[in-house]
Amino acid sequence: MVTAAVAGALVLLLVADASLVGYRAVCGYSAFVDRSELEHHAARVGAAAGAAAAVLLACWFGALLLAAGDPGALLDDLTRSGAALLTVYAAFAALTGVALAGWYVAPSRWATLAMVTILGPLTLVRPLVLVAGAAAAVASAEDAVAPVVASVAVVLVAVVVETIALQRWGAASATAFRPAQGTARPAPSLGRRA
Amino acid sequence: MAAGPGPQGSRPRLEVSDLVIAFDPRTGERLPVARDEVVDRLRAAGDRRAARLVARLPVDDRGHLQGAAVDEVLVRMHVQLQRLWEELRQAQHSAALLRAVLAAVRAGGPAPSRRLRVVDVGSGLGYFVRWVAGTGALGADVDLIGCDLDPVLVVEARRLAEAEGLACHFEVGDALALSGGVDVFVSSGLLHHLSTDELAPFFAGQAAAPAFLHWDPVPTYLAPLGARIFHRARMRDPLARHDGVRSIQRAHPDRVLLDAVAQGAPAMATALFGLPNRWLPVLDVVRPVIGLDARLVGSFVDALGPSAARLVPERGPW
Repeated sequence: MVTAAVAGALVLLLVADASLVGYRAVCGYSAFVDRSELEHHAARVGAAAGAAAAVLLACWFGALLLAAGDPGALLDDLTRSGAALLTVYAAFAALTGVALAGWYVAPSRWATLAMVTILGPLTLVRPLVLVAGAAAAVASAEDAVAPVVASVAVVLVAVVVETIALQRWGAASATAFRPAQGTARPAPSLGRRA
Repeated sequence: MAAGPGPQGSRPRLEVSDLVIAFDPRTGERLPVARDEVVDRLRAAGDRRAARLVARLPVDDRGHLQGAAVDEVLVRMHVQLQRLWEELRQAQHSAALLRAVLAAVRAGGPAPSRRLRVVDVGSGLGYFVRWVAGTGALGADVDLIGCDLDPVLVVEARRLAEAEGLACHFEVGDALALSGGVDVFVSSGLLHHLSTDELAPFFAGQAAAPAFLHWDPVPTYLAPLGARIFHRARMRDPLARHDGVRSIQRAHPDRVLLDAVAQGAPAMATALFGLPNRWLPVLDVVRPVIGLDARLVGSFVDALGPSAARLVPERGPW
C-alpha cells in the first residue's frame, strides 16, 4: 500500500514536471500574442513524455525486482528511498504549485512577486533539487544500496534525457508555430488587476 | 536611440543592442558597425564578458558586423524580452493606466468623436501594441501605432501582426516626428536607453500631446540581484541576459526622470505610479512616469478609481 502510494505520487510528479518542462521548452521562441495552442500542445507533449518515462522506469523496477534474490527486502528499500525522493520533490512541487496559483489568481503586483522571487529562481534550482532528492534517496537506503543507487541514477538519466529531448522538440516546434488568424484573446478585466 | 553612459556609477554601463547597430540620424540609413570598436568600447567599460560575446559575432571582409547576423540576434533578444514582459503582465499594467488616460482625453478633448492615436515609442517587436490590438483592451476608437528606428524589428512586428490579423500599424522612424498628431505616447523599457542629457529633449518632443506614459525598471536596491536571477532563468541568449541585467543597472532614478520632465515639458502635470514597497521592492519592478495635460488630471483620477491611491504626484493639480 505504501509502496503503491509512493510510486503513484512519484509518477504524478514526473508527469507534472515533464508537462511544465514541455511548456517551458516552447517559451522565448515565438513572439505571437496568442500562443495558447502552442503552449497547451507543449504541455500535453511534455506530459506524454513524462508518462512514457514512467513506463520505462516501471519496466526497470520490474526487471530489478524479478532479478533480486530477496524481492521483498529490495522493495522495502526502494520504497524507503522513494519516500525520501518524494519528500524533497513534493516540497519543491508544492512551492511551485502555490507560486503558479498565485501568479494566475493574485492581483498583478503579487503575481509579479510570485514570478520574480519564486517561479524564476525555481527554474534555476530545479537541477539542484533533482540531485538533492537523489542524494536523499541514496542516503535512506539500508540494505540494497547498490540497486538503489542504480535506480536513482536511472531515474535521473530518464529525467535529464526527457528534459533535453523536450527542449529540442520545443525549439523546433515553437519556431515553426503559426497562429490561426483572429484568435487573439479577449480583453481581460483590467481594472480589477491593476 | 543613442547609447549613452549609464546614469549610475563612474563607468558607462553599455547594452550590446545599442552598440551593434547604428543608423544615420538624418536619413535613417543603416551604418556599418566595426566589431573591433564595439569590443574595445565594452572592454573600456570593464565589460569583458559582453566583449567576448560580441567578438563571436560574424563580420564581413572589412571587419564590420554582418547585418543579417546582428538582425537575427536582435530579433531573438526582443522575443525573449517579450517573454519577460508577459510574465510580469506589463501589457495589462500599461493598458489599465492607458485606459484611464484615454478616458480623460475623450472627456476633455475638443472633438470627443474623433479617433484617438496611441504611439508606442521604440516599440521593438510591438508586443504592447499587438497585445492591445489583440485584446481590444483600449476600445475600438483607438489607432495603435508602433515606431522604431530599426527597420528589421518593424518588419518583424508587421509580420507578427499580419499573421494574427491584428489592427495596428508599425512605422520606421522617430515617433516624436510623426505627423497627424498623437494623443498618448507610451513606451516600455526605453528610458534607460537614453542618457540623462537626452531625457529632457525626449519629453519636450511630447509636450504638445495630451499625455505620455513611459514605463521603465525601478532601480531599487534589490533590482540588480533580481534582474540577474530572473534574466538567467528566463532568457536563453547570453546577450539577452546581459542586456537585461544592464537595463536594470542603467535605469534612471525617479528624481532624474521627474526633473527631466519638468525641464522638457514644464506645462504638463507629472506623476509616478506605484512606487515600490519599501520592504518588498520586487512588487513593482517597473513603473511609469506620467505626463498629462493639466486640464485632464481630474478626469484621469476619476477614471482610475481606487487605483488613484497609487499615484505619486509630482507637479500639477492632482
